[in-house]
Amino acid sequence: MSALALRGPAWLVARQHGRTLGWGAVALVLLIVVRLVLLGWTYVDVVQTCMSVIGFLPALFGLFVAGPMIARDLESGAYRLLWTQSVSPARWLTAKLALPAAGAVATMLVLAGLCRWALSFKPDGAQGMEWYADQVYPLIGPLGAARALAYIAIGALVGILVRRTIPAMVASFVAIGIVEFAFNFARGHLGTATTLYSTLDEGMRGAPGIFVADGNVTSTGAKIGDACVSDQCMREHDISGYFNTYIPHFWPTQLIETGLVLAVAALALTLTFRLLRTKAAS
Amino acid sequence: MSTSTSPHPAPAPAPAKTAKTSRLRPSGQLWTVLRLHRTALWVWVAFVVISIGVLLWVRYGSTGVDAAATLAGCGTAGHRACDEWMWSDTALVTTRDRLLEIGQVLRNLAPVVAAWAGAALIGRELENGTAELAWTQSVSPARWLATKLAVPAAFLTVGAGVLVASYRMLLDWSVTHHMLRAGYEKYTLYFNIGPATVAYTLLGLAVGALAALLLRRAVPALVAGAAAAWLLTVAIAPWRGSLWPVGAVGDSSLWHLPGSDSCGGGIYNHNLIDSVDPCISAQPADHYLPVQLVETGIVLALAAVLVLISFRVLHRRNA
Repeated sequence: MSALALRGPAWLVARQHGRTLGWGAVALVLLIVVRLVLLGWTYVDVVQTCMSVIGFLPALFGLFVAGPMIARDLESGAYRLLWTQSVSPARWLTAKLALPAAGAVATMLVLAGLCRWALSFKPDGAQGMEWYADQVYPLIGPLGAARALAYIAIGALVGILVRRTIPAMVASFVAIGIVEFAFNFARGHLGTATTLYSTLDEGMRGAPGIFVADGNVTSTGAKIGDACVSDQCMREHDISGYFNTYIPHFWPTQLIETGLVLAVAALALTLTFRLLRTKAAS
Repeated sequence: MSTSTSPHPAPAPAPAKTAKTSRLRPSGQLWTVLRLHRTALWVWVAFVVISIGVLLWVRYGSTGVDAAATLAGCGTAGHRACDEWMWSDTALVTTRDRLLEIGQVLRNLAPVVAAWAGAALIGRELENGTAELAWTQSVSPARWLATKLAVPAAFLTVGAGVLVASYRMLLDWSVTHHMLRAGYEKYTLYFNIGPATVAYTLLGLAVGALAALLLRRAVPALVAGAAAAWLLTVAIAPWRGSLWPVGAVGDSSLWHLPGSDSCGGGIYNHNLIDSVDPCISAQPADHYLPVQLVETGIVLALAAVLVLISFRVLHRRNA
């Protein structure tokens, strides 16, 4: 106990929010259990339900930091008390962020290991559980932990800006949603793509990787994004087959995306501390 | 969020009552609710307006026009059959995805409304004590809660009603142009185009209010309200198929949009959508209204029970 005991502002953070963390974990497990009671306990249901909850964890960390941890202190004025008690504003914020950030990263890394392990028992042909599926991809590598860090940083920034608990939670939810959407959208550009070709008779082949583009190929080899429906259109464009472009490898894209997400985290953190300094000075 | 940039951590804006109010201005408790929750009010109005804009854009934007043009003339000489679905046509797939995404948003209104009702509408006032202040100002607790629920309920009913009607018009358009395939996706869309969606929104309000009255704190009520509303919607969904006697063969959990292509004519590629075989289990279209109304009735009854419990909880706390 004594060796691990936290002191000063870190102790305060643990003391203030430890119980919420416990209740939050209980609520999430309860949510999973109730859903599974309704759906059934097959392998696919269990793994998909757990993964969809885990997928929301980074955003939940961000919301919690933005609202109850930072904006509430600013709203209630509790920060003034601390800042006069030999805890500087920068140290106050560091203590607020370091503990949840470390906890979130550790949690997400452990869960990533668990997800990889659980997916190793995947039955053949289980739809939507491939490594490149949107639900799976962030949870089987370091990206989940990076997201947790970035969303906590965004939560801190929004909390400092908005300074009211519930509006801060809403605003950070929107901000996090935009960042996540942008990265999901850009993923097809973060890696070396391969293209599969097939003839008209074969039909378009499914691509085992991150989707980039697909469509028709003309006899000259040109790619047309929009596929024809009418025979007339087929003849006009002289279409000879299909193409499907995708990124076949997991790690390069995952590492690039993790790096970019960490850059977003660093940017948000820098801005947050800067803002805090100007606010504290005024 | 406009008020959030104010330099001071502002307390709840007090209803500064002016002596001379215009005739049009609502008085007393109603005014307080409208004024206190004006941000939420504007967010809701903006959401409805923007959503309608998105619906119009899906239909009249270049992608929607392209998708309709792609399938124009299907079934006639020189064109493919209407039920042959081109997965590689970007405009078609994008339009179909948009239709499904809008449906998802409409389906998930209840948890969001519950989160707001739990946190901002009721939880916050109980937490910081402004509710008690109101109760000493000749507003009885029961009347306080009644106004708190009635005003948002009116706005939610009108807004969600308009959205559902617009969404239905958009789906009718996509059905006319053979954009929807049999089965799975229709099931997702089916329940969003009737009064049940409005009922679920009101259920969310009731769930959030009850969560706030039980927990009396804003953030826990936000979380509990949203989770409970989500669980309720998930819990009711599997029973939809058995709400009305089924005439058709097979699994009763899948539906046809009224007026759409017959299921037997639809193409369905199980490699491309998740896991459900649709064509064995279509319900006749004339079952649509009875099932919608039964579901609406059940959801509204549930909401009414929750509101009753809320009043009881409030009464007991103040007794």
